[in-house]
Amino acid sequence: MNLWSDMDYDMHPVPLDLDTADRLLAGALAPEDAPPGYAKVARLLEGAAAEPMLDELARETEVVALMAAEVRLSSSIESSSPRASFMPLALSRPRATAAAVAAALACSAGLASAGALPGAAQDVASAMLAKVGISVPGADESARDHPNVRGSSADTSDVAKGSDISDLATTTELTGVNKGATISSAASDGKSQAGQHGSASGGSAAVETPNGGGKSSKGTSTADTASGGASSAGSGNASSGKENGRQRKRRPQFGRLR
Amino acid sequence: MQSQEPLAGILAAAKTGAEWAITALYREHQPSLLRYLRAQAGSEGEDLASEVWLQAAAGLGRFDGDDAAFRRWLFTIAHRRLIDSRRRQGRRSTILLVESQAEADESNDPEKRALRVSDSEEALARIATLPPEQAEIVLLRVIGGLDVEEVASIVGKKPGTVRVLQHRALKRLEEELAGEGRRVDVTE
Repeated sequence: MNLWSDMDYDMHPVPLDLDTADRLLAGALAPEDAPPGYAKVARLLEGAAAEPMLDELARETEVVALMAAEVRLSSSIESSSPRASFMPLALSRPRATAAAVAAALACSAGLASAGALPGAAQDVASAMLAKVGISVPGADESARDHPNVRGSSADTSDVAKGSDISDLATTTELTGVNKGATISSAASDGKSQAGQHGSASGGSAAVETPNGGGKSSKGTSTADTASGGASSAGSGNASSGKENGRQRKRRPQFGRLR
Repeated sequence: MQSQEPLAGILAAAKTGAEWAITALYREHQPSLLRYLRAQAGSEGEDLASEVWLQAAAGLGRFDGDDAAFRRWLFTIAHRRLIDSRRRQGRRSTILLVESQAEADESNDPEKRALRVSDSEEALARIATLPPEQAEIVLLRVIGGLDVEEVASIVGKKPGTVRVLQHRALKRLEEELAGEGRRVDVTE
């Protein structure tokens, strides 16, 4: 029986099959075991994968120092953004954004179909959803039998009325409950029953409003002026603001859980 | 000895920035990485190899796997760097091939060239004459030490396609080497 090397492959070429090619590239075939004509190829592949040469490690010191610095820098950056690394894979940023958008769309569509959006938004939602074949009521339809009480800059009667009430509040010589009842009655065209039920415990003494921490004093001062200091309007907002501040401080620090 | 640490320990230490561990990884993989890049990018291969290592260092904290996975990851980065480099240059760099060809022309002795075929640089230059796709696959198989499936995932082809391309590459190399052998016979 002849060896591969004894055969004249020029006269009788032996096709290279896929598996033999695979074995040659994996280094599993020595040149002497290679098919006819492929001994040189096998030697060439051996040469390509020969032992490392010194010049191939010439930049070792420089590159290793840079790598070490890069590793430390990267790890310090990762540890300084703990929320990102703490976030589970399922809630990574793109997915969380997509989920939030989908939830907002679903919520808006639901509110629109119920006619519960503010007027302008209801109109926009109605027009947009109509384009995709979904019928939801417009702002006017959703108002149903409620009167249109929205004011406009053209309505000067309300401005004049406000001015009159303001004048009355600052010029009247009445005090306490009587002052409040008079102003309230004037402001409501006689519909108000202020001052007719119960009695004021403090008489005309001004009540200190507890909204010192609130950012806005507009509502308080208006009510205060109109009521002669008996109003507590605005105190709810101030209290709410402080409460939110406390809740923010109580939020857990996820970064420390690592 | 630090260099005889289990690889898992070396990788863990490298993630903390320990220079001895990074050195061990570098010495293990740099020669093959550099040959792979030099064969396809010529003298630019040295700079590309450094870029690959720095990119690997930046992502080392997130790497999770064994030595084979690390090697595969490293060559994946190298492959992408090579593509970026080719896009920048707008042409395939064959500097190494040109340099080797110039040396060969100087001697102009086919017999001596045939004898030097086992020389590493000469072998790489020869592989670099293959069509780019075939050269890349042969280099990843032979120098990267990667199997067909790993190469397929790196170059973004099916394993069957990789098998066919590597088969064509070997046939082409065989034909070129046989042609040179015949030319030697004629000159004699």
